Amino acid sequence: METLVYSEESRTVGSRFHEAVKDIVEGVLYRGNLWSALAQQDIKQRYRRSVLGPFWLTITSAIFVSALGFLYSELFKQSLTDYVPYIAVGYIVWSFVSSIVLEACNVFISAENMIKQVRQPFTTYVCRMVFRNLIIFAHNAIILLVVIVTVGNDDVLQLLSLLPAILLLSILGVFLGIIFGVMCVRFRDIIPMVGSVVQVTFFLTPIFWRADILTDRAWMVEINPAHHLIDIVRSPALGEGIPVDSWLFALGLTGIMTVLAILIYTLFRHRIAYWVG
Amino acid sequence: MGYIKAQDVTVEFPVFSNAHRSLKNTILHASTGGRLARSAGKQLLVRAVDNISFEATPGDRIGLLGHNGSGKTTLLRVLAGAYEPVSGYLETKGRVASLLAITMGMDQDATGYENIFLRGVMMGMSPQEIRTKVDEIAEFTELGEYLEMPIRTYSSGMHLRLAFAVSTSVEADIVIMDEWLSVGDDTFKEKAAVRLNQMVENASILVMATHSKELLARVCNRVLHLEHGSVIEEFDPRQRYSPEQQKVVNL
Repeated sequence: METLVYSEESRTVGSRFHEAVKDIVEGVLYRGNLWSALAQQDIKQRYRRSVLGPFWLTITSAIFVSALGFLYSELFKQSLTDYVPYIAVGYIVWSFVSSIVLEACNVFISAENMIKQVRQPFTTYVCRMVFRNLIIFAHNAIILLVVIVTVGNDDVLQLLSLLPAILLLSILGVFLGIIFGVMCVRFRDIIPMVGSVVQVTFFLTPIFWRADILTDRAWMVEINPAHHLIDIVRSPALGEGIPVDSWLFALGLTGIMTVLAILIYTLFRHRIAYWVG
Repeated sequence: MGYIKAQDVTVEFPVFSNAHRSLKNTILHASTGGRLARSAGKQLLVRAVDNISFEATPGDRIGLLGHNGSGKTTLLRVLAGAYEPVSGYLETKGRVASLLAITMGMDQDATGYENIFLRGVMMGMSPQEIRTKVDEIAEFTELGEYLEMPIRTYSSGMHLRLAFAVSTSVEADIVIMDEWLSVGDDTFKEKAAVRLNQMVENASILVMATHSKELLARVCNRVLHLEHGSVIEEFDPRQRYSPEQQKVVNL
């Protein structure tokens, strides 16, 4: 029996906190049918009537990475065989993380119709966005496999660490989706703001250049979350070892975002339906 | 078994102008105080549902009557669980089927079958549940081979048939409807009415907004008359709208 109660008691902070946690748990774990169907539909809709479909992304990334790799490897005086795999992995992971952050702003705004008609955990819409990007990432993973084979990486432990790394990025994506989603639904100025921050971050993050060419300003990379998030996938994929400090940074960041997401849900979750319209 | 209890339920919508949505104004307001207070601080609120109380037990067929903007749809959305009341007590028990926008979530480029699935999960059905119902739904729509085609090739009537068939395939304790759903040409309309009646009969509670007095007398056993978001009177439509009166209304 599904029971729904709103009362003075349900409006207390304690009860709101409980509902916030429940929303996340239910949305992620028990609405898989819905968010996976919606995410697949999003992908189908985007590539309807195209023969190659989402593989166009793979092709685009491959062309982009090869062309830039060819030119920049001379610019940065790197060997082609080292450099192209490096930017290939970095770029794919960057695309995954950055599109999650950008699309996080619109998770609730784009679900306006559903939010106003039916009761669903709000996290369902967030998971739809993360899963959609995970599907795109899976298509790009072909490039990742090619890289792993060409660099001859056969370190099982490092390769295995890729799975929890991608899982962690996805979990982080859910919490970022909640935080940005709620903020953007209330304050629409945050959307372009996030857009410009992401753009700047792209140039501040070691994707086309290596972090170790920095000396005095290395701290700028150390404090850059994007760098650590990329590194937990890139380093082990290239066989350069599992970066412990980046893992700690990513875990710490996810922890902070978990707390923030629950806080923001506790305070504002019940207002989302009023704000989307 | 369904059950609804509402006690002083109130819903207020904030009306945002572009300035209100802007973070800049909120921050400026916080730092400069007085000067921008009028544009950023004073938030316009619309009270769409104002202290509504009622109780619905199994067997209740409640009709919501009222002018446009009297709060009928908002109240339905509150009952569907979309809006949380700003104040008051609300309790609903049982699976709620919201038939407020039956084409919601349908994808023009997806086939009829894909849309049955999409719409089904959106209504809260599990994939297994949909699989057991898909044949029955397909048969009811009479769309045949069209179900294999993208629904953008459908006429608007065919569209509605499909949406209607999926939406009414849910088993619910509480059915929420904005106007009695009526779709298709004459023969289909009859079939649809039978199906909708069946769904409503299987449910224990119906809450429906409508302007039709004839419909209220036929379907409902209670009417809540809303004005400016509050209930101004409650009556039994079968007594109020006698057959003679219904004829007048129908003319």
